[in-house]
Amino acid sequence: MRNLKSCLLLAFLVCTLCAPALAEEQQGKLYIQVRETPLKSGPSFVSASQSPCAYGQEVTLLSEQGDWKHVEVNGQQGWLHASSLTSSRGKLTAGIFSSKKVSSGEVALAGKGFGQATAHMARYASGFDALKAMDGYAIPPEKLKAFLEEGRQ
Amino acid sequence: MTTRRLFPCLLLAVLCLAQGCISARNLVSIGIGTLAKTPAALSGYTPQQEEELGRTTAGQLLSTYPAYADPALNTYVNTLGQALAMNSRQPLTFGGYRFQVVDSQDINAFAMPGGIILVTRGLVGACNSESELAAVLAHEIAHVQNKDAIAAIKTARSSKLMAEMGRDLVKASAASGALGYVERLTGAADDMIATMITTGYSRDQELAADKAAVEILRSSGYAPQGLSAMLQVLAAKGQGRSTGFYATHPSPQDRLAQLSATDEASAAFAQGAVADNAVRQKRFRKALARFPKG
Repeated sequence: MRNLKSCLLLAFLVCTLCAPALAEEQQGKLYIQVRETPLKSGPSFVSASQSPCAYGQEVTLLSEQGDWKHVEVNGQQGWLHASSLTSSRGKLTAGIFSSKKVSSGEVALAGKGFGQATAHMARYASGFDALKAMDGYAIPPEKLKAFLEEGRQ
Repeated sequence: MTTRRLFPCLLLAVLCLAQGCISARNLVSIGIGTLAKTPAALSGYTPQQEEELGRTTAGQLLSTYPAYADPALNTYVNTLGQALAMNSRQPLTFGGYRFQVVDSQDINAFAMPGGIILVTRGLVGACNSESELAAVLAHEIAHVQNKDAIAAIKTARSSKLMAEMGRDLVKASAASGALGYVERLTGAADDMIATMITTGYSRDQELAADKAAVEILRSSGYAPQGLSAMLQVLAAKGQGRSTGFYATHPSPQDRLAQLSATDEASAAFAQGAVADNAVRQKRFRKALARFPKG
């Protein structure tokens, strides 16, 4: 009888330990690993964009089709490309430049504790200003698709 | 049933239950596990960290090679380049693919982690068609996706940098700590720049980028002969030259021979003849209308 109780206790502990992992992985949690990407209505860059998803945001995997993942985020279902997602939340960090746009002031790392680092990076200020301009060069996927289709005529 | 026989049965039941947990986990992980196949998982850095490396390197390069001030040309190059990237195997990076023509007559291009790509006006000017320019940009996109620049970071520096990049610098408040990190970050950028400008990628890396570029061109509706045409242009311009681009890349003739040996349309590929249609010709000429020739 004593052995039976021990076995049952062991079984209970195993179930208890498995349950959280099982629950979480059954839900298929994934995280956004790009600065920002729109949730799409279909598995294509040119599908209609729904709400934007931000870096670090958690989504739930529902199914997949090729490189596209059907997910649920904030109660809304849609599609995200695999390259925008990671299963490893632990690796998502703020980092030195985080998700902010670069500015010449950003070169001078904020705070008096970074004075020496500021001087080190200041020599590249003009380069980072040019880089800031590049951040505005994103072309909407619909225009990219139209560009390619026009060129096939 | 005796206790002696009950214990193994219960143990078996527990093991089956545990295995059930593991099996369920495996079923779910089939969807998640496919993420490990995406190129972003292969460099050891997260996409956000690759962006940091790319920005640091690009900032330094742009201090040396200023941006070429031609908004129409830059919009055209970004439209073409981003369209190609959209049809590649890694269409998204942390900050997206961005292209900039830089004011240098040298024939060269620099593909930074995170999808930041600089192309000299010397290289743009060497292109005779949109298909040839597409081949150039596809090759650079392939370098980004193959993580070639990251591979150039010295191993010891990379190991320490990878460990540091996860920390919140605001919390690491000591000035020396921040300076050390920034020095390692700019040191990593120096490693990448030295490879891009002086030593070049390995022959295998360049040939792998050529092969990937052919895939990108085909996926985007461009004939792969645009790459062979561009290589022939570069071969002609490189006669007797052994510096700059010609010191950091395998000879165009070598690259052509390798691609022709593997491409299924090898005969047509080696010919390198590409006749862009009227739409592509018109917009190519319009984009380069203000571009100085020669």
